[in-house]
Amino acid sequence: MSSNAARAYRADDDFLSPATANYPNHPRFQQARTAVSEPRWRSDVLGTLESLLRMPAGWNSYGSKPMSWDAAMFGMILLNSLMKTDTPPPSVVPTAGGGLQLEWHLNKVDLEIHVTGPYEGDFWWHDHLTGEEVSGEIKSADLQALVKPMNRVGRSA
Amino acid sequence: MPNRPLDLPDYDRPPVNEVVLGVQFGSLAALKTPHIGFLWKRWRDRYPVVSEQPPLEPAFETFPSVVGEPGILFESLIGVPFPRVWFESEDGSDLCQIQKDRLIHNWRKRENAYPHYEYVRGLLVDDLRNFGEFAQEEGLGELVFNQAEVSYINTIDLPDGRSPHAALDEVLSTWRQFSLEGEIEDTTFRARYRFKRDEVPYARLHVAVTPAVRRADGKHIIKLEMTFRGKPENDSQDAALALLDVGRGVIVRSFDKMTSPEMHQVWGRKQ
Repeated sequence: MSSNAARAYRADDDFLSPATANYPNHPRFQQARTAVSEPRWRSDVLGTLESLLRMPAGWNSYGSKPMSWDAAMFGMILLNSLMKTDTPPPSVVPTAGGGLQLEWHLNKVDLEIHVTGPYEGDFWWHDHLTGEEVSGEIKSADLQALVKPMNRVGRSA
Repeated sequence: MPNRPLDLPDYDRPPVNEVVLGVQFGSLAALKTPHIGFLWKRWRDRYPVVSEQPPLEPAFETFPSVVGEPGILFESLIGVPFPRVWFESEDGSDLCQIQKDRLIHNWRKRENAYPHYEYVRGLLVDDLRNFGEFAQEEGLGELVFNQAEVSYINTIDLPDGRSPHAALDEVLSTWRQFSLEGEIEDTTFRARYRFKRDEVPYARLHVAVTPAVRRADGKHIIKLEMTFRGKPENDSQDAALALLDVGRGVIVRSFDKMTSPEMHQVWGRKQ
């Protein structure tokens, strides 16, 4: 949840909160605090996205679009909602339409999440142990259908 | 502009200190810092004061989401961050904030009485129309809305001047059942409520109560912040505004439910 954003956009600085008075509400301070407390997967994925966002149109020689900023950003939002601290980071692959694919192929599970924009995309996963195979669309704020496969890739069966 | 719903509780002197109406849209990749100069040229009469702030992180409600998970400093960490620009009215009560993927209108209490939601919404609509026209003329692209949010920040003090930090039960009727042994010193709490549309979660109400000290007079107060944020039904401006209207109703009714009848009297509850 992004309550920190909600606090930040307020315009006034007219109040001191005794319980938090020792923690200045300065962006650089927040950034530093986030940097030391954030899980490893975030810096890994952000590093990859930074490179992918620099790729020009036609990066695959077949008229591909450059990666969309909004798709990359929502990919991070989605991971932030679903990843646990010990979930292995995904492979991040650009797609020709300007989206990105987040992929895990481990623990006898294949999981692919294709993000094309905010609340837009689709997914597919296959559990090789049980034979279960599920695909679906991402078209709302409800990401519940991804919880089970995300938990599965995060642990050995 | 929609009229105030008749069934909504209303007060003569509500303790509102700030109201924030914001929309988030697909990032305007072509928007560059020099454009802001052209925009200010149009807005200078309305907003004579301009300043720069760090950009806000993207804010999306998703289900599930982890409580307390830090947001993602996406804009700050990738590429050159585009600032959030504040355009303020002369007296500082009206503020329009713009960055590549957001437009926010704040009403802030100064000497003026709270003009109510419909007035602030009207100003947001004006800002959106002006900015949308500007974006079109400059070839920056269309605004494709993906999130909307409304926040009320209330600052509450007791009429007799006592500190409300140790008297939360006098302010919040919902707090009375938590009276325990010992003498309460202060209280902080947060709660989140989810909202569904056709059985699919789409929005959250965030409620936070914190003790605070007002810088201006050193007086102890309670800050009651309520934010309703969610995904509009589609990517149009009308849908984003409709979500704000829903959120405003949720917040006002929730505020009325949470707070005590005694404080309602102090604030001049009308209906």
